[in-house]
Amino acid sequence: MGQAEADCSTLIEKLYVFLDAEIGDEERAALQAHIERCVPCHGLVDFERDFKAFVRRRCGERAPKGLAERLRAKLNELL
Amino acid sequence: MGDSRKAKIDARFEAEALPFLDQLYGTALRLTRNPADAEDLVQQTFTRAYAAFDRFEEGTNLRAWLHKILQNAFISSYRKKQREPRTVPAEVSPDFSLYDVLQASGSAEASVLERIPDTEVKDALESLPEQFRTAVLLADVEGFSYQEIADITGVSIGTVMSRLHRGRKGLQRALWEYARARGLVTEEEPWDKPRRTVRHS
Repeated sequence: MGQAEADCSTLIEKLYVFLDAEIGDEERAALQAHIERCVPCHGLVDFERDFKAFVRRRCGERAPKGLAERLRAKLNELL
Repeated sequence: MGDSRKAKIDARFEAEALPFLDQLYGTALRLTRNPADAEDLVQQTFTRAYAAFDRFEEGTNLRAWLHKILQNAFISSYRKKQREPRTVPAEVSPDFSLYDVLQASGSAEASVLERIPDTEVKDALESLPEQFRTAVLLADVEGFSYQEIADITGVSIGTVMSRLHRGRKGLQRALWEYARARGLVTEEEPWDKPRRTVRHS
C-alpha cells in the first residue's frame, strides 16, 4: 500500500503533536510526505520548530549564586 | 533516621536531585515572577522533596517528580498572593499564527525574533495566564512529554494539549505586539485576515 499523504488542514491541525513528537509513525510519515511537497506548510513547520527552540533558548535561567549553599544549609538544619 | 541511612539519602539527594536546581529555579521564577519568591519556592520544593526522598522510587522520573512538588508548592503557597501581572495579559487567540503575520508583513521571521531581547521574551511568557504559561514552560523550556506534563499538573493529556496550544499562540501574539510596537516589523496589516487558504494542494 502506498504511503498516504496528509493535506494542509490536517498538517495545521496536527502541527504541534507532530513537532512535539507525540504522534504515531504512520501519521508522522503522512505529514512528512506532505511537508516535503508543500512549500507554505514546510515554511510553517520550520518556523514553529525554530520557535520552540527560541523559547527554550531565551527563557532558561541559572539559579542565583549561593542558592545551592543556602539550600544545603537549610536541609542540614532539618535533621 | 539512622546516621548511615541519612548519609546515604544525603549523598543520593546531592548527586541526583540538586543538579536540577537551575531548571527548578527557572520554572519557579517564571511562575512567581520575582526572584525572592522564586528562591523561596525552590527552597520549599527541595525541602519537601528531601523529606519524602526515601519514598521516591529509584529509577523513576526524578525530574518530573521534583517539578510536580514545585507545582504543588506553588499552588498551595503562592497562587493566592500572586500580584497582578506586570503587563496586560496577552489576549489568547488560538488561531493566531506569528508565521503568517510575519510573512504578510514581509519581514524575515528569524531576524525579527532575534531582535527581541531576552527580558521581553520572558515578560511575554509571564504575561500568559498561569495554566498556559505552565504548559509552555514544561513543554518548551523543560522538554517534558505530554504525559509527564499531565502527571505534573494533574490534568488530562487533552487539557495539556489545549493549554499548550493556547499558550504558544498567546506567546506569539505577545511577541508580535512587542515587535510591532518597537517597529521591528515594517508593514502593518491586520493579523486576523486570512493570509492563505488552508488548502494549497
